[in-house]
Amino acid sequence: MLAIEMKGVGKQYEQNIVEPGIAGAVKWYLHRKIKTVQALKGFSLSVKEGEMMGVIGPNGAGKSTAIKIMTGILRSDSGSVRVLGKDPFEQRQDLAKDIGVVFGQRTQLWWDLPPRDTFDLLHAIYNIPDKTFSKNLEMFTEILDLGPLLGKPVRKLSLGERMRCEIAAALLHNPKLVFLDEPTIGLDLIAKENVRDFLIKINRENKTTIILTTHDMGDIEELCDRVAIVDIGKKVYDGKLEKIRKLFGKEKEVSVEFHSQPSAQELRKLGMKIVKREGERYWFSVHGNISSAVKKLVNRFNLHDIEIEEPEIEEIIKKVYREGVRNAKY
Amino acid sequence: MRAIELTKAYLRINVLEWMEYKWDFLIGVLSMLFMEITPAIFIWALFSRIQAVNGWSFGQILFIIGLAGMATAIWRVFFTGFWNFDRFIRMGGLDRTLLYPINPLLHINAVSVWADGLGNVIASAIILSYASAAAGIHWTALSLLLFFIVSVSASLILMALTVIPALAAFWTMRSAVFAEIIWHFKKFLDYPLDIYGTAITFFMTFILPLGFVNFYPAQIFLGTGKYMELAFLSPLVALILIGLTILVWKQGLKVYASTGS
Repeated sequence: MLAIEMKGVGKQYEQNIVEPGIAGAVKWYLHRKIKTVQALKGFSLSVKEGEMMGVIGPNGAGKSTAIKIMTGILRSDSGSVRVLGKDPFEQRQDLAKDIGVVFGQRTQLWWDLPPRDTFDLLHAIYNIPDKTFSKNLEMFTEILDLGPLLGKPVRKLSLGERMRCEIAAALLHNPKLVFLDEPTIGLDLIAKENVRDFLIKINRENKTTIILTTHDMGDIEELCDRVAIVDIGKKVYDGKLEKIRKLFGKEKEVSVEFHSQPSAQELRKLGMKIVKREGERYWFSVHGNISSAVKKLVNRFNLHDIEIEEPEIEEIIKKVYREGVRNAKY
Repeated sequence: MRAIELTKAYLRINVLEWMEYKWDFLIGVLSMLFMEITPAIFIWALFSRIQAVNGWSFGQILFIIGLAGMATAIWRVFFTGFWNFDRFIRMGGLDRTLLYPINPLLHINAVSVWADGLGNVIASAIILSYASAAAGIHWTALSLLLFFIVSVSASLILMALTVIPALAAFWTMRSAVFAEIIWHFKKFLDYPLDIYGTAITFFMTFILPLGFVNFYPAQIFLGTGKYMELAFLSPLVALILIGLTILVWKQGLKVYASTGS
């Protein structure tokens, strides 16, 4: 069964354009300028039950809007949305029992109280059976190492400590579907590992479906079966992370160390673009067939060393963000 | 029962939060106590010179002040969740609330309990017991029950009249000022409404029905026989205003769902 099915979803916002300063505000009152923003455009996404899916994209691409539509906070203008078989906007309160949400930037924990007190309130709000509550609390405390944190006021916790509590809070009621909006933002490496291990465990043991937005490729590489790239309100890629390299990472680099410095003319004749040079070492960018490029180099020059370098996923994604998908495709 | 369990859970976390700031709590209670008792002292000073204001005696006016004080006290402790609603929206609190399997109106109301309202409770209790003696009110089980119904209805009227303007946040982003404007009209409640003249009485009865917070229902207990056709209407007015609040809330939520800001 599908946990999420979005088909051709569109969403527009109207945004007030207010010029800076008091004069701008007064001007706005006299003559309202409104800009229409197309946050999502023909957006489709389907996620199977038990799947771990990553959603990435530059800021303002529409990830948050998509999550708000899936959780019933916002209503879509067009298209159809089903989440756990329900219409999230019409059946929001009903759906809320089965979903958990972590907004990395916002807390649901009571700021002045220890996390344990928020957990107790959630116990009542979600009507969690006592047995489930204490079992989950015990398990989360162990895996996320919450023991020393449960008694400290939230305001005194570090970002990483707070995030661990935040994730626990969102999962206490055994949700079938969990949305995590940048769950590892600002965490150190150990905290990141803790959080990732925990998510993997929850996903395996409870078959919890997990939707994750992040800017951290490590999250995606370690956690997600599948990744969607969102840009300007559209899904521009949907599939395995590895395949992104094949699709967008066609440009490879060959680095070469020459025995003797080649002349400028020789290099020009080669017809390959020089990306970088450090002493005797040259980096050439190669489109398409890498072996013919290597052959050319080996046949014409006396080489000390040759290496083929594939771009990092992180680099490719950055390029996709920077240039848009169409331009990033070579 | 689920409702009781929820009430207990929300109250508990609020009490725990007050306890985090014990001194704040104590100072808040004291300041509310003095604030509430000041108009009563003013009336007491006034009546050391005169016998009656527009036919109202010291005890009667004190009772009217006490009833408004009790309504304010209940409002302050239980129904202030929407006071900073515009800020709540801007900080993303509404998004978070909409993700809970619970009525968002009730949740937003319940996450904020103003502990200093206990100061209002104490002050009003003192004022009311003085007033009862001065006005010669004999309490019976029935009149106590009536008083309970009246003061809860009155606090709900105050709630609706502050929540509705706060809900303007759905349309205007900043709304705290609207609730504050209405709150200023509450100062009229320190005296019997009919001393202000027809225009203001009409306004405070039919436009901004603050008269149903204390002046009209007070007549039940004072036994004046005046305004009897309006005296028992406070619960009805509260109900109508709550209906209106829910209507505005639903409309606002629709706007929110399409703009998200």
